[in-house]
Amino acid sequence: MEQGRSKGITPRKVVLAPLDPVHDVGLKLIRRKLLERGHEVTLLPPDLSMEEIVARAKAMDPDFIMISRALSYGISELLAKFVDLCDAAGLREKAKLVAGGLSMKPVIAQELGFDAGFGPDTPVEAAVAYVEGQELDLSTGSRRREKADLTAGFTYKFLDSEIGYLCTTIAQQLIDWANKHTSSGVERARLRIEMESERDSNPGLYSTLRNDYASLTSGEVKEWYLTGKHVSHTRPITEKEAGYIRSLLKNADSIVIPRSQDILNDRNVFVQYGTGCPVMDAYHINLSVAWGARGVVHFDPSWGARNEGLLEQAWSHEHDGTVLTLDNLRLIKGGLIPGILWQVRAHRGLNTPETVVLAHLSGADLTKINIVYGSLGAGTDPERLTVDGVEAMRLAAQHNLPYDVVTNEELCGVPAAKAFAGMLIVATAGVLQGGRPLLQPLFANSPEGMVTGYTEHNFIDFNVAKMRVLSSIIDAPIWPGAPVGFLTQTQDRCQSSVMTALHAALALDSGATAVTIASSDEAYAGGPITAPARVDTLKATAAALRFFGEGGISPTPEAERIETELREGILEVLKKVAARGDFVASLYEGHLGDKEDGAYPGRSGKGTVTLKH
Amino acid sequence: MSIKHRILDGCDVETFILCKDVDEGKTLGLRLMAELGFEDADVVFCEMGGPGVRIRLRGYVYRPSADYQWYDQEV
Amino acid sequence: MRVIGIAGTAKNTGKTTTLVASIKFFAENQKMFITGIGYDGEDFDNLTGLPKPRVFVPEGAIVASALPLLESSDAKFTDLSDTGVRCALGRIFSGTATAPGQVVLAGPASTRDLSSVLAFAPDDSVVLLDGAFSRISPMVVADSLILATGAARSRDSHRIAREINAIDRIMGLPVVDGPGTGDVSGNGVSKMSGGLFLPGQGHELAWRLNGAGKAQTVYVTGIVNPQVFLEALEEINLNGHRDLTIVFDHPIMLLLSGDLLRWEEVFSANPEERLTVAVRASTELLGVTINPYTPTESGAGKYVATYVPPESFLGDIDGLTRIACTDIMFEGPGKLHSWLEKFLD
Repeated sequence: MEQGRSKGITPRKVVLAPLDPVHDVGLKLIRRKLLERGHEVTLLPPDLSMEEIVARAKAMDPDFIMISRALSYGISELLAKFVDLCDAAGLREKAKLVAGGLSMKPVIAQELGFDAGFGPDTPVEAAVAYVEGQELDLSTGSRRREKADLTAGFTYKFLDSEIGYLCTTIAQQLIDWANKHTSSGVERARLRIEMESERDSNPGLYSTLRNDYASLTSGEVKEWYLTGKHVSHTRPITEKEAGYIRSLLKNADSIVIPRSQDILNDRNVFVQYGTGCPVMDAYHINLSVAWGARGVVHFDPSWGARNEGLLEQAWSHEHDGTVLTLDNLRLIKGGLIPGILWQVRAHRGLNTPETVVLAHLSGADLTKINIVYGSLGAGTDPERLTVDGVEAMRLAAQHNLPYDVVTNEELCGVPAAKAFAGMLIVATAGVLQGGRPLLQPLFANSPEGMVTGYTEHNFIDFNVAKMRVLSSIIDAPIWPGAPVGFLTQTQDRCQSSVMTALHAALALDSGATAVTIASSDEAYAGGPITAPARVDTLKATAAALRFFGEGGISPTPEAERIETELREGILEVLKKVAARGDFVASLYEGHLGDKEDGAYPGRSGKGTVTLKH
Repeated sequence: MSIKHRILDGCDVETFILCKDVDEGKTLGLRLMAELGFEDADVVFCEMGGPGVRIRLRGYVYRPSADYQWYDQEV
Repeated sequence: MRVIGIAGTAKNTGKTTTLVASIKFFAENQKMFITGIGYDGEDFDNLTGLPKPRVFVPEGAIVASALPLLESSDAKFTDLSDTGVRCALGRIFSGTATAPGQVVLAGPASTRDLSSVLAFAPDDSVVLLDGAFSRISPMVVADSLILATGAARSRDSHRIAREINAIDRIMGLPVVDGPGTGDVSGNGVSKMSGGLFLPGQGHELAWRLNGAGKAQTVYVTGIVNPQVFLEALEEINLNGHRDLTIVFDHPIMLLLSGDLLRWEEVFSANPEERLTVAVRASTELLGVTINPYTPTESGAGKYVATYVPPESFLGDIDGLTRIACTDIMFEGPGKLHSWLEKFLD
């Protein structure tokens, strides 16, 4: 084994003594690492008496003596005696004594008289760091503080020129059409920008703009603007609650990160939050980040998509979804740990452009924009969402916010080929406007998978085929979700965590840039997600990644067949949409998903699109 | 103050209850949660196998938007 | 500065109880510096999970412990000084309690580090040095020692009494001056380093006394195991010899290795004390505290607190030993206080 490889490290003399032959594996691992780093290491045989170990160590004059022994009440006296012998023999004039083994922990090491104690979960690196005199906090792992750029290195060039040509043609047509139209959603986004720039400096103008804004709202949101009546199930955030969030950020530097989760540091694992309460959200975000999440996704209430207009001020909501206001977002941002990626979703409803504005104003890193899913699976009128979606993409590009484009209409039953065609069209429209979209294919057991038999024998082939076909079409980041494993999880948290973890591992192994995971409560509908359920799947994902390592996951030859079918299907859909020559009409007419598939053009916002003057 | 108030949101109890079927298992599970003092309890998961159910019960101490008292008093 | 060590023959032999009673004795009139060589004062034992006596320090006491433990103590500390010594739980600081309160002691583990920490004790203070497990090596720095033993060491009161007598006899070995630097060899003096605790070392000692050198006095530095010493004695022909003397470092060097009862055989192998066994320095043994408590494993790694009958246990031991013994919980702290008064005198 090569020695002395590490520069700038003072070589140390280390004696390793197993006091029990069964427990010398840890010492052998430590020996290997120490030798690699140029230290002089002697591993004593396991059958020596304590007196013999002391005598041999004395002859070697070491800097460190490390022993290993599984601890029990009876054994503890023997270890204490060993410490005494080393002390009386003068070894401690120079050498540090270290104990490792099952049940060992710092307080027990202290009581026994060792200079340090390492338990079974201590990584070998910690023992090496100790020998090299580095300060290593053994209670905590590490966390990257710099934000990942999920779109870095991607060219957005089409690798499949036939599909690329069709996507570009359709996308340009839809942009041209949208640019001639406007909506109340587009107008409110413009007003929100103006309002926020005048809010403090020009109260009079702000008030006028706010009245204009209120005139463009609907439902309970409108009522709040006009009368101040709270939207159902909401109440203002209290000062005490805001204080909870601020204290989280104050303690961000001392946050304990479980070392076992360090493997997630280089993976972009996202979790979704949206308990309704920004305080609970802040705690869930904080603990998710502690357990290895690199990004979080804001979920707003479903009524936020159906009402025209967004509230102002900070609100707590008694049901799922945290109210989307600039104040709420800023409050949550105030508890975010540096380095965490934060996505504010804008993708499916009547407030899409304005949400991009709020995402920008609150300092979000990412947003989410979609036209096809929102139109066919989430209840928004296709014409309206096309106008709003194009404006949202323009704003995102202007504010340098990357966004994902989902294919959640697959959950309704829309085949992946149609959903992917829609996603590629929208993403292309984004690129044409200078944006940086991320493709977000459903990575789950979709209805199509069940009906066609793609997922009958395993959950690998169909998902791998999706990743492969997208990678073969365009050089763009892929961020499967959302969350992965959808419809495979049950209410059993063990099964749920395993399914999530394996899907996450498969996605990352298949080249995903990022992945969004669910909690182990994913299939439980009886109440809000709890904190331990979030930890469950982050732990499971770290374990799955550790298990597969660089080993990889191999699909069967079936994946290749599905990939071919997907590509042919996408091409066929694109040809139909291109031939129709009207993207919005294609949405209504079912080219990107029809009623038979389970897709229904939404009606929310119908008739609200007007020609620009 | 009860230590329960330091629970961030919910407290899960996972166990195996001897019973004749899932319905009895759920009923016994919810009675157990009531005995433990959880007023807002639910069955998250319950599956019959062999002599009883593998069950996960949840008592919400704080649902979102509740009046959290995590740090109001020493525990 | 004078140091009282509180050492045990095993874990759970009552060191903490003795420490707490000693702190109470000194609380009113004596400046105290309190530290320990292990970890003590926690609410529940780290190995058995059973409740432990808590350590309360009075206002004005100086405590040396790992900084995080001083900071989390309800006794507030002022004049915090970094001793420069690091233990498994962090840097050891000394500080003066500004209010009475519970404290957890995590102090220096080695003799060298202990000496560094004791440099922070005021000249006019009494140092209370808390032991850990059966560790005794750092107690060489103590001027006086209180030994804690009891049922956790053995439920057999006769065995405990025999061990106490052996320790008492070893602690009472005569103190002679060490060899000067000049008179190492010749003049009938020999020095042997490396102790007497491995097979074969007894042969070397015998050779020095019987062999070519014919030394009359051998200074042995290091740990002494009674079995190895016995082997030497068997080789040394004591009959017809003249004034042979073996000088060890400190009685504690004789207590670290091997079975304490094996020393009975050593003493009987030298019946008329033809061979003088002495030490270069010693520590006074003030008395022995007896504890009837012992944790008993109840299965699956769980422990329950059990007790031998305190009265008969103490009575048996006291009747068979020369040194003063007491059970503080059973008899009260009177005897302990008398030892501490003697120490102050």
